Parts: sequence; C-alpha cells; structure tokens
Amino acid sequence: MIHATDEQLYEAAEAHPDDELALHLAQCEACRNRYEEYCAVLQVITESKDEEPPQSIRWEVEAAIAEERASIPRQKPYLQIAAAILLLLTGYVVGTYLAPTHRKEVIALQSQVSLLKEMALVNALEPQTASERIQVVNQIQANEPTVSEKLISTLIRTLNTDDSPNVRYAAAQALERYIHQESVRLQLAASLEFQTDPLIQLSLISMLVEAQEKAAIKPIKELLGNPNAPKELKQQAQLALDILT
Amino acid sequence: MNKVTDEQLMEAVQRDKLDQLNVLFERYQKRIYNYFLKSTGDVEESADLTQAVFIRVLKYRKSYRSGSAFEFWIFQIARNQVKDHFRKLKVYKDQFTDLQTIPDVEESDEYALQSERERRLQLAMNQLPPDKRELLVLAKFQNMKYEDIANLRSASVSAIKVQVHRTIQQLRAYYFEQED
Repeated sequence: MIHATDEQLYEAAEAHPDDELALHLAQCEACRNRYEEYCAVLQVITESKDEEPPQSIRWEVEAAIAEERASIPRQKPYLQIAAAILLLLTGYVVGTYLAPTHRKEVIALQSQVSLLKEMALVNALEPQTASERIQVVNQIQANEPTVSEKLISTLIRTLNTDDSPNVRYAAAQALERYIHQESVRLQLAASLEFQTDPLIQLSLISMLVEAQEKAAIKPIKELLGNPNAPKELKQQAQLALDILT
Repeated sequence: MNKVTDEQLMEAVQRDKLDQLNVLFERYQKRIYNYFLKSTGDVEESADLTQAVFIRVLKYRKSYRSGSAFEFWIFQIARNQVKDHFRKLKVYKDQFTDLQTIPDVEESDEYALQSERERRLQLAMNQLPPDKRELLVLAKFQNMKYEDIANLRSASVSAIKVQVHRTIQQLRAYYFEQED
C-alpha cells in the first residue's frame, strides 16, 4: 500500500480529503492517524483566541502622541493671513509702479543683494566666537529657501570642522532645510562618518532617515560597530537601520 | 459612507494630524500585540514591543511612502522588532520553558480543555526556530495571504507555501510529542 504524503494529508486537513484519499484513509490506520493529527493541530490554531492587549500600551502611545504634538511648532493662522495680505499688497504695488522695462534691473539687483548677503554670511563664519558663529548660522537658516552652493558648502564645512559642537549642531539644523537636495543628503551621510558628538550624530541620523537616504546605511552600520558609541545612540542607529533597510 | 483607509489615515499622520494615529492604533494594536505574543511567548515583552511599534510609526511617519500599503509597512516594523528581540536574546531555542510567560486562561470547565490545548500549542511553537514560528504566526494566526507574506519576506509565493507546509509538519510532531 502506498501511503499518503504529509503534503497531501495537510492539504486534506485544510480542506477536505478527495474521494481517493478518503478511501485510502478508511483503509490505512497509519495515514488516518497522521491525518487526524493535522486536523487536531489546525483546529487548535483556528480556535486559539487573540489576547486583549494590556491597557498600558494605550497609555504609553497616547503619551508619546501628546509629547510629539507638543514638539510640533504651532502655526499662528492670523499671522499667516496677515503675511498673505501683505504679500498680496506688495505684489500689487510692485506690479503697478514698476514699469516692465525696469523689472530686469530689479531682478538683477535682487540677485546681487542676495549674493552680497550670502558672502557676508560666509565671511562672518570665519573668525568669531562660537556664539557669534551660531548667530550667523541661524541667519543662514532664516535666509531664502534656495541658496548658493557656496553657502551650502560653507555650512557643510562648518558642520565638519568647526571647533564648537554647538556651532556644528546649528549647522546641521540649518542644512536640514535643504535636505530635499540630493547633494546635501549625500554630504550629510558622509559627515555622519566622522562626527563624534552624539547629539549631532542623532540629529543627522534622524534627518537622513526622514529623507529615506540609503547612503546613510553605511555610516550607520559603522556607528553600530563602534564599541565606544553610547548605548542610546546605538539604539537609535539600529532603529534607523531597520527603517532604511 | 466609505471607511477611511489605513493609508489615508497614515498620510494624515504624516501631515502632523497625529490624532489619526489613535484610529490606526485601534485598528492594529490587537493584531500587532498577538503577533508579538505568539512570536515571543512573552506577555511583558509583547506589550513593550507593541508600544514601540506605534512609537516608531509616530517618530518615522515622514518615511512612510504615500500610497504604499500601511499593513505591509507596520508589519515590516514589527518584524524588525521581533528580529531585534531575538538578537538580544541570542538564544534560538528553549527560551520559553517558563510557562508563566504564557497568558493564563480562566480555568473554568468550559475553557480548561481549550486552554490546555493552547498551552501545548504554544509549547510546540516555542520549539520552532523563531523564523518558522513567525511564518506560522503570519500565515495561520494573522491569516495573512501568502502573496503578502512573500512580499514581506522577499520570497516567492511557492517558497512560502512550501515553508508553511513544512512548518506545520514540524509543529504537528512537536505538539504530539508532548503526549508521549
């Protein structure tokens, strides 16, 4: 007598044995026993009830949501409305009083002003005290959303080389604004390789994960392999790696 | 009225409408908790892991790809949590011999028999390697489609099907071994 395979018996237990197998089971005790065992196991699985999660999970998650909500900067709608009205009025005034022939000169002038402003900021980062340099970095952060490559590379250089960790941290925060640019993301990932301050490392990891930058995987792995890295930092790094991989 | 989809809720969470995470929490907390419970056999650890999953969803909300299946994403996070858990334990077998870690079921006559069967089932499952146990949890307890499991594990559907067959075969052996 040819016995049924485990696959056949399992599939029969999941559905129903076909006529041929049913006939065999009626005649073969060994196969019938195995078949009944499969039925029994599948039945326990089917009847196994889900447990109710403890209430503490809800409390913890709600607390985390509340904390996160508090960390999101609040927008003031009346300020936004006021800004929109002001912008509209400015547009109207500029459109009405500036003849089209003057527009090119105005644009050129604006770009020169912007360049000068940037150069002033770049130069200002050079020799001053740490608190002054932080102020300059913050000014850059508050600057136009699009900035020159020179300004970006100055911020990167500040991030990588400034003596003060506070200035480096401010530079990292300023660069976050331009993270939509691939070159910025890649330079931030590269910077992660030689940052040593955990606060800056955490900040860079967080930005790169949010931007889903795969180039961060390598430096994060290296960080995980570093025996001197703090435990909390490694936990965050592992978490980031899980998300990115 | 159509129910708001998980994906729509998650996209709202991404836009910092964090209250919507409560709705997702209601929809998924029991599944995720039981996924951990069956995978680890540890009540306290399962509670910690479950809350950690939702906190990750919150923290990494911006990394959710708009339009992609939320269920897939959250289970990916949960799977990584389980992997971390076992990595930390660094033990792949026999770590659940303490039966107190398995939730007690009320020992009335009505439940006693089923309770005993479930206890034996959990013991049998604990003898499976974590990888196979997790596969079983996804396929048989979470009733996830083979296609979705294949996607989650980057494997082919046929490979998953064969693995599930073999795992049930092994489970059957462990389950009835306890009778002997």
